[in-house]
Amino acid sequence: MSPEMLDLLGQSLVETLWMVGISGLVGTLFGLPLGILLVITDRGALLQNVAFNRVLGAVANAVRSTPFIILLVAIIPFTRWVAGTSIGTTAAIVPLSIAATPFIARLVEAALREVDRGLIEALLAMGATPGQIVRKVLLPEALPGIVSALTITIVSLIGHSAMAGAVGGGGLGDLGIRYGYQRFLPEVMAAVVVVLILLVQAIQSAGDRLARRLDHR
Amino acid sequence: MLTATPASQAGSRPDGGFLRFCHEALARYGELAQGDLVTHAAAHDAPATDILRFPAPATPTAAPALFRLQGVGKTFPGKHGTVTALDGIDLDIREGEVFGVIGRSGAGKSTLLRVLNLLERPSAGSVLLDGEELTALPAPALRAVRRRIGMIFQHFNLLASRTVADNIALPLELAGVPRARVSARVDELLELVGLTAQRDRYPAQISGGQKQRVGIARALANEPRVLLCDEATSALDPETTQSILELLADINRRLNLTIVLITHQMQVIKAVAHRVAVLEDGRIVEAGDVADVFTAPRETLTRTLLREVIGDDIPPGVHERVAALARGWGSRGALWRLSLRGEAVDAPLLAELSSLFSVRAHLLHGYIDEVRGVPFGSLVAALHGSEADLADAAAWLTTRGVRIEEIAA
Repeated sequence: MSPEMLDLLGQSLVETLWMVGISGLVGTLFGLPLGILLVITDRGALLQNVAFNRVLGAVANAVRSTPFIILLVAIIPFTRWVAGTSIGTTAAIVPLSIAATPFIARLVEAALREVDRGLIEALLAMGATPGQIVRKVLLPEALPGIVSALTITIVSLIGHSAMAGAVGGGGLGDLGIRYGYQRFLPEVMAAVVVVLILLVQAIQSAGDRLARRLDHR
Repeated sequence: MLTATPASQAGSRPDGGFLRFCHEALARYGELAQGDLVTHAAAHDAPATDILRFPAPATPTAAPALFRLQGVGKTFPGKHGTVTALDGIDLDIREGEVFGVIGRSGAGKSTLLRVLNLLERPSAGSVLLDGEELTALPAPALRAVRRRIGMIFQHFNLLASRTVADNIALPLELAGVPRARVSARVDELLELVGLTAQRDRYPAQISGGQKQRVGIARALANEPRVLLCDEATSALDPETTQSILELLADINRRLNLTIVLITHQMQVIKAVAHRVAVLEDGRIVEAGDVADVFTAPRETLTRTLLREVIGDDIPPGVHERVAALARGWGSRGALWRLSLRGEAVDAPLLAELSSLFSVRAHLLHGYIDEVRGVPFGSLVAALHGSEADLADAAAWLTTRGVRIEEIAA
């Protein structure tokens, strides 16, 4: 492979990491509180609000059921409003973040539901406020699960980011399509796939190791 | 416990008041052939009757009520209509006592315990703590009250993500105690429950008994008025159960801390409780001093539960032999269960009985136990004598504080 091609591969890797990193961060910023809300407003939970819970759940499902490639183009006006542009790597971060948010919310919800109800009862018996229960019990106890959830989200975002090429987002997936497929450069395609495999492996095992270290059960 | 022991063996046992009494009784009557025994057939038609209740126990210094439940009821909406978990519960729990609630699973014990700190809000009635109506409190005031009510659980409910020390520190953090004071208090509590060496371990790395000790330390962190124990020893082996119960009794004595515990194990009640309430289908069917309930249970359920800790049954072999003898006795005999407590246990009653009346007593079965320092026992004896003598003997025994029940042979 030519040095130019290697350059391009490196540049694409950086673009992918940038898109995935920022959208993962933004997705966590919104998804984590939403996941908490999904749990604590559920029927019989700390701050039961069934109507709110239903609406929140329905919105999360709606976003998650929209194919990413459609979401990508459907929200172009919103993207332009947020990012100032509708094309390029930064523009791709907006739909990636929007896709990541309900994904993270649902995974965090599942992780939080794993926390033993007895612990919540113990904290209530100690006179804890709902906020204290979230901070002192739900989040710390579910942390290993939340780390696993974020690992899955990042891996999934790497897959989604391949579609960012549709809005000129660049990244490894875009490189593979434009050079590997459209220009018939199988070695580029192979290189992209190998880099992606290594990247996903590294992220998954780092996430697993961290989750294990945090888990004292 | 002692069961129909031959005289030779009874004589070799370490001596004590009751044992001496059994020994004497057995030495006197043990040599009699079973064929001698006669019983009063007519007496067996009547159901077991209490001839006299025990004399009322010395009233304990009436401590003021810490908790007072009045007409507490709790219903849950169920799939097939509402389910009643508690119904008309009236209860006083006194300052400084260990109050036990016993019942089978589903009796409403757990709900009753949770009503005390309003983890379950009663559907009816009132819950008073120090005269304050808890059900009327707004959320912040209720949280403040809960900080003064410690609670421990069957499955410990420790945070897996926190070390032993950090688990104990949790209620202090919640109450906003400054960090420096938290650490000092945690050390104190670790010492109290004997876990200083485990302070930096995680719950997954310690044993069940140690986990419950952490639970106890955590519950005591905010110096509570009362400790609620939710089946605290049910997940522990017998030996560990014993050590946890000793710790609870010790805490009760040393800190004069009121303890309310629920359990399905009568031995837990026997080991630590001062007073007990027996719960069945959401109602209190029997309540009183543990010594009273143990020595004179009124309810069938209580007797059944008691059988766990004391063998109240005549062994089937003995029963068979007695039944055979009864046929030959005619009207000159009776089969009695004599329930004794306190000083009556120490007196050589059967020996005195036969010297005062022309009645011979054949000891068939018996045990002695002790609860809260009160010795109590039960003897099953076949008595041989005229109807008049038996009546005199019964009257005399009741004056000595013995409760007599006729048993059908």
